[in-house]
Amino acid sequence: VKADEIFPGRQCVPGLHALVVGVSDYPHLLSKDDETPDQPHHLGLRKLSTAAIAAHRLYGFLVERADNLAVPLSTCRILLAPMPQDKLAGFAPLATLAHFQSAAKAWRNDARTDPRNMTLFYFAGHGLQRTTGRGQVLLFDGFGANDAKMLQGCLEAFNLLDGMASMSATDTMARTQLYFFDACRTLPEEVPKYDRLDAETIWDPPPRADGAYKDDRLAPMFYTPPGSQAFGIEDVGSVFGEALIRCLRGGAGRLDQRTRRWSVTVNSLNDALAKQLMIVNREYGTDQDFRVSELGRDALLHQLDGAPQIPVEITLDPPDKRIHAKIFVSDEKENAVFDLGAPVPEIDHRQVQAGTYEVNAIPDVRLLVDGVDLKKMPRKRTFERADPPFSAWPLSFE
Amino acid sequence: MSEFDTTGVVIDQRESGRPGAHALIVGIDDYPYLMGGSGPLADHNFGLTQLSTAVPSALAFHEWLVQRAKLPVPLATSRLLLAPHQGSPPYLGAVSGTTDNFLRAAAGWMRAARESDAEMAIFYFCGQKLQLSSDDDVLLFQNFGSSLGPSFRGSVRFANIFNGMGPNERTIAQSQVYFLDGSRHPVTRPALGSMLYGTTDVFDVLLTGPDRRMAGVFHAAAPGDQAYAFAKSISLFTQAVITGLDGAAAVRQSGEWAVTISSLSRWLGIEGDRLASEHGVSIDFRVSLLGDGVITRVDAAPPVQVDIHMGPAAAAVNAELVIEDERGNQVSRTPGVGPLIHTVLPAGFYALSLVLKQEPDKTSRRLVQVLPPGATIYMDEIV
Repeated sequence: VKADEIFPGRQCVPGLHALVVGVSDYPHLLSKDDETPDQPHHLGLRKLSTAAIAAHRLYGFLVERADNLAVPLSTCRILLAPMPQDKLAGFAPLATLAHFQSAAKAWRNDARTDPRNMTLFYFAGHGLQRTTGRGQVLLFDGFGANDAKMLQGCLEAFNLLDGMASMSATDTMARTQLYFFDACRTLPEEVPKYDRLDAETIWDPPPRADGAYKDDRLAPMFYTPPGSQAFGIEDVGSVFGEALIRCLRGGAGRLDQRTRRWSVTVNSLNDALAKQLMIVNREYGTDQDFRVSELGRDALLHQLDGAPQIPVEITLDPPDKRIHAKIFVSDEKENAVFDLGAPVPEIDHRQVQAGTYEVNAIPDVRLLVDGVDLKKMPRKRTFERADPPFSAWPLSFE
Repeated sequence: MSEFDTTGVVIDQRESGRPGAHALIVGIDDYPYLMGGSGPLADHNFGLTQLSTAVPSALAFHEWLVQRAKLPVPLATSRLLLAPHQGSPPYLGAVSGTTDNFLRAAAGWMRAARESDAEMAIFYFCGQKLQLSSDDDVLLFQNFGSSLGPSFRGSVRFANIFNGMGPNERTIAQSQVYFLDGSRHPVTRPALGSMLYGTTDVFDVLLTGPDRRMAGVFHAAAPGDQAYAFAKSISLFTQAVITGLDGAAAVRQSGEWAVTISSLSRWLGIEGDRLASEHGVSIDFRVSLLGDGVITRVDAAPPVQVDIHMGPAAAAVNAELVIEDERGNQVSRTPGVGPLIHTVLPAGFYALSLVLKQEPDKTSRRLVQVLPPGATIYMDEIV
C-alpha cells in the first residue's frame, strides 16, 4: 500500500479526499539544541520533532474510520518530513513543496468529481504571519535554503484555498471542504523589516468568465490565532492535533435528534475544540488557542459508534453537608448508574455515557447519630447533562 | 473632547473607571453615485443599486442594543451613521454615512474601546459590500463613486477595521463582535487592479503579539453571495441576529441564560437553513470566530418548540403524557396522546412520563433537556 494514496481504486462517490502534511525536519534549519547562532533568514526557527507524528496520527484516524466518516474515505494522501531517526522515516513521500504541488493537483482533481465530495486538508509544521498580504504562510522543507528569497519553498496558505474554489456554476468541485492549519502564526522579528515578502503559490487563481469572485462552498478553516504559537508534544504529535483527534473520536460528539445517532459535525467540533484544547493544554502545560473562519450551515464529519464516554466532575456544597449525604445518580430512563457516599467525596471524577442524568443528594440514614435531625438534613434533586468533552456537576444545598 | 469623540454619538453614558460597551452602527441605503442615485453615476459602479433595507436594519439593531440588550458591561456609547434616501438621519445625533464621518466616528469608537481590556466593542454595518476574496470584504459608504479622489476613496476594507482593532501590544476591548449585513458582491482583485489602493484606511495595523480577543464576525452571506431582505424592511440576517440575541440562541452558562458568540453562530447556521427553505433562496449566514464570550444575557429560559414523537405503541394504548419540570412541578398532562405532540416549553430539564390508563403504576419515564432552537423527543418505548 502506498502511503500517499491509501485507497487506490477505491472510488467512492461521493467520497472524502484528504491531504495530510507533516513537516518536522527542515534540513536547512538548526536542531533545537544546536548552539550555533541562527542565520537571519531562518527567522529564529529550528527543526521540529513532532509535526510529522501529528500528521501521521490524523492519517491513522482517517484510515481507521474510513467507513464512518460523513462520506467514505476515497483517497488519503500524506506527505511527511520526519526527523531521520523518526520511525516514520520513509513512510510517505517527502513533504517538499514540489511533491505537495503534485499531490494537491491530484487531490483537487479527485475533489472535483462530485459536488457531494468532501475534502480535508491538514498541515502540521512551521508557519508564520506577515504584516502585509493575506496572512499565513506554511513552511515546507525547502525553507531556509535561500537567504536571497526568504520564503522559498513556502506556501501562501490562501493560494491553496483559492484554488479549491469552483471555477464555474457547473463546476462539480466538492462543496464541503475542511482546512486545519496546525502551525505557528507568529510574526518573526525579521519579517517587518521587509515591505513585502512573498511565499510561493502552487496554482493560478480560478479563471472566471464573468470576472467575478464567487465562493459559496462551505470551507471552514481552523487555525492558530494570528500572533500565536502552535505547540508540539514529544512522541504524541501536537497540542492542536491531539485535541482535534480527541474531538473527532467523540469528544465533540452530539446526538442527532433526527437520526438518533451520535456524530461529530463541523459545529460540534467548533463548540468542543476550545474545551478540549483547555484539557490538553492543562495536561501538557501549554497555551494553545485556535480560530475558525467561515462557519456556516452544519455538516457531518464522523459517525460515532455510540454515545461517547464523558469525564464528569462532581462536587457538593457546602462541604460540611457532605459528611451525612449520599448521592444517587440514575440515567434518563431511571436506571441506577452509581451512587456516592456517605460521606460524599470532596471531588469525584468518573466517566459516564453522554446523556441526561437525575442526581439525588439525600441524607444517609445509616449515619444518623444523636443530635442529627433527619428533617433538617439536606435533600436535593437536580438534572444534569454529561456532554462532550467534559461536564461539571456542581451540586449545591442552598 | 475632540470631534472624534462626538461624531455620530447618540448615546454617551460612560462612567469614569467603569468598563462599558461601545457600539458603532452604520446603515446606508442612499448611494448617490450608484445606479438610481441622485448624483452622476460612478465609472466603477459594478452594477450596484440603491438599497431600502439598510437604515431600517441598522435602526432595529440599535433599538435592540438600547432597549433589550443585557450586555456583560453596560452600554456606554453608541455611534450611529445613517444614510436614508431623503432627509437627515432619522435619529438625533446620528450623522450621514460618508467615509469622512466614519473615520471620525471610528476614531472615537476605538478610543473608547481602548479605555481598558474589559470594554466591549460592537460593530454593525448594513450596506453595499464588495467581496475580493473569502476573507476580504470592502464596505461601501455613501460617498462611494464620488469623483473626489480615487474610485475607492468611499470604501473601507473590513480587514483594516478588524486588524486595526486587534491588540497590537496595547490595551483594547478583549470582547468584540462584528455584524456585516448585505450582499458580498463578487469582484476579482485583478479586475480592480490598482484601484484597490484607493480604499480608505481607518486604523494603523501592526500585527504583533498574540491576538487573544474573544471576537466574532457574523456575515449575512457566503463569500460572493447575496443577502436577502424584503423592500424597506429589516433584512433577514439582522432579523435572525436579533431573534437569536433575544433568546433563541441562548445557552445556559453558570446557571444563567446567555447568548454567546458560539451559540449565536450555531443558531444562525440553523436559522439560515430554515429561512432558505422557507423562501426558496440560497441563504448561508457565515461566521468567523476567535474564542467565545457572552454577547448578552437573557432574563428567562427562552421558549423552545418541542416535537414529541409517541410511537405507535403509546398512541395505540391511549396513554397519558405527563411533563414535569426539574423541580417536580407538573407542567402539562395530555390524555389520549396521538403519534406526535407539538408544544412549547421554556428551555430546561424535564421528566416526561407516559402513563397507561389501565395500569397507572406502569409508567415509561424519560429525562430530557430542551434547548433552543428546537427539540425532538422520542417516547416510543412503552412498558
